[in-house]
Amino acid sequence: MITKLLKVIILSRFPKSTIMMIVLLDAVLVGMSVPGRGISPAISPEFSLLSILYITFLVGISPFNSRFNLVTKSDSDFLVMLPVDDRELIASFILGYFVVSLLFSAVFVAWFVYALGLSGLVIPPFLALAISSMSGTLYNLDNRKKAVVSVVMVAWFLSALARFPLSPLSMFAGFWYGYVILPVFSLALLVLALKRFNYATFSTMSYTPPGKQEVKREITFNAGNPFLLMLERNLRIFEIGGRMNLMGSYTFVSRRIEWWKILSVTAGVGVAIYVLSALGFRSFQLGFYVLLGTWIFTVSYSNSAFISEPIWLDMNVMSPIQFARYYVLSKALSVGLMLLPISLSFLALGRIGIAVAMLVDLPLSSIMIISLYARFYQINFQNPMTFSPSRYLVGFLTMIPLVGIVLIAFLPTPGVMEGVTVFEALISLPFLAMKRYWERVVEKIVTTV
Amino acid sequence: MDCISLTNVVKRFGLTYALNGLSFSIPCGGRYSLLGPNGAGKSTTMKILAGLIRPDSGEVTIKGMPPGSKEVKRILAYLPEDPVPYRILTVRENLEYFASLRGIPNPREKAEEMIDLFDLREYERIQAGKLSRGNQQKLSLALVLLHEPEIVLLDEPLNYLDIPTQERVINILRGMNSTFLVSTHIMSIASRLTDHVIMISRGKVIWAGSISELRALGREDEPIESVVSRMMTDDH
Repeated sequence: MITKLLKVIILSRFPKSTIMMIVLLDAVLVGMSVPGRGISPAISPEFSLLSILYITFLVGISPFNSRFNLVTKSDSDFLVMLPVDDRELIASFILGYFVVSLLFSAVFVAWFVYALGLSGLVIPPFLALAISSMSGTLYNLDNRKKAVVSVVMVAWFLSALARFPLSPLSMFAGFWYGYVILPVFSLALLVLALKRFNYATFSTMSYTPPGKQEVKREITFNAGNPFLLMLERNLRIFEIGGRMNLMGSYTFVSRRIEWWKILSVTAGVGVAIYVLSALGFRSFQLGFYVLLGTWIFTVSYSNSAFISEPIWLDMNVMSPIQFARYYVLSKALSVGLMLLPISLSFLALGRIGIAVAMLVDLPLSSIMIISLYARFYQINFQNPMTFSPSRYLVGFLTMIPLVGIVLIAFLPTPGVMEGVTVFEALISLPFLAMKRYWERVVEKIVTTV
Repeated sequence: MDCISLTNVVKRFGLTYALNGLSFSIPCGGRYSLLGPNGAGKSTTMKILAGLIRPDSGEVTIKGMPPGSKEVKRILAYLPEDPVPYRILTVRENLEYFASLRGIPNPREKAEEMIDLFDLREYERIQAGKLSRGNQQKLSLALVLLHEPEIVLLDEPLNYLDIPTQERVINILRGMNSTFLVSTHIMSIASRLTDHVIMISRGKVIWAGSISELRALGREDEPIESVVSRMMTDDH
């Protein structure tokens, strides 16, 4: 029975063609990275650093059930109603999540192999096991407690950077302990998940009856200009995630926020960068990784576009092209405003290239990403997240603007800066002039999503 | 003058014909129902009239203007089936936001008016995503009617509403002097909200006339639903 359940759970999220494509991609990447490599301690410090950051990121967000839904609404409506033993059902959910996480983690196996040699092959299964078990282990904690767990785990995983031998990732710092600690940690999480996860409790917690939870601070909309109205809305409602890209898929998050809170976070990051630089932290690395981080943020922010947008209502008021210009530009401007403090910090450090990339090139990138997703990767919060090869490929296309961003990190000369801005403008701004393109977007949304 | 007019409209999705030579017109001030079995092309017709999708061929005009134009949007309201407003905005914020987008002079005042009209006072500070499906439907109706439209396209407008709310909404809609096209497959709703029927099946009009003419097609004791059912079945 568990095999049947597992099959249903996996195939209800991923069509066979997508799984085949990811397996093929994994095989190619493994095939490219493995030949000629032996089993050895840490080989490449750069790939060790990348691997530590990537794994920590995945583990850090996993308590919030990111990447892949542990239990979908369809599971609750139909699968749970089957006369199946609870334990079997729960084990199937976790194993299903494990298989999918493994497929995604394997895309990055090359980094682990470059960093650790063939020993790097053991990382993806245990990483996937940790991620998949985490949701089941922590499902009944509130977000504050999950955040505490996440921070502790992030600190523990990142301690490998400080060459702490008891970090689960200490293998990347040349210690063998990591090879024991990571599997033990993952298996312990699995046991905990199987013991702790209770479907009835999960369901009770997930069910929110139509309530009367009033919003304390209401937003007042009185600007006469539609662009300013949309910008105001984007600044007060923070949305992130919801689509899949090369790094997996993210849970869609939509929250009402106070704008100053976001600015305090980015201002804090800006100050930290300035201090680290003053303390003599390697300038190139700092710029490169912060730019990479803000790129990931821009992609994740753009990922959420159109998911909760009631297009039917917008189309009552304006035409598709008008709507697209207001909506996409206001999103791009929001990206720029959020990254402004970090950009100013780099400006103060004399790193004009990085500053311009954050203030101009990343918002331009977001225009291209949002426009591509709007037409070729439509998704609605009401429908379960399913993946197809074409959607996965669109995820790849969104990497195009990254070429310019990486170029600036390595060659921040005035000529390159201007060239990259022109490149980013050329691949993004034409979308805002394509009337028929946006008509097709709306037509597709109202007939299929 | 006709407020809504479709002539020989064809719309295909892949190999399937959603509309196959659909033609009808509605005079200004007319109250018409669009009836038809599942998959007849009712929602596609409404979306074409709202300017959300383009027909492959044929002519569609709203008061002589192309659907989707700015001029049409000023006078038209469209409510789709299963509408969802901005889930994270409250009832009041949704109304105020759309009143501002429409350029209504005092958005806050308009929001207040619609909140009272649709009996949403109790929920004004609740996020739309946390409302019951029925209250979301009420809010959606309020959102599309806030600019006092001349032409109203409603796709299953009474879905999810309890009986007292249905009565309230029916009274609101009856009190408006607009041109109505109401898509439904429930005959009792059609007869409460409108006085004429356009019956379509497989993307074509199979019958059009007044509700009294439709009643007259059946036997004296025959319910109108039975007459409609027979007509739709005969076409299949």
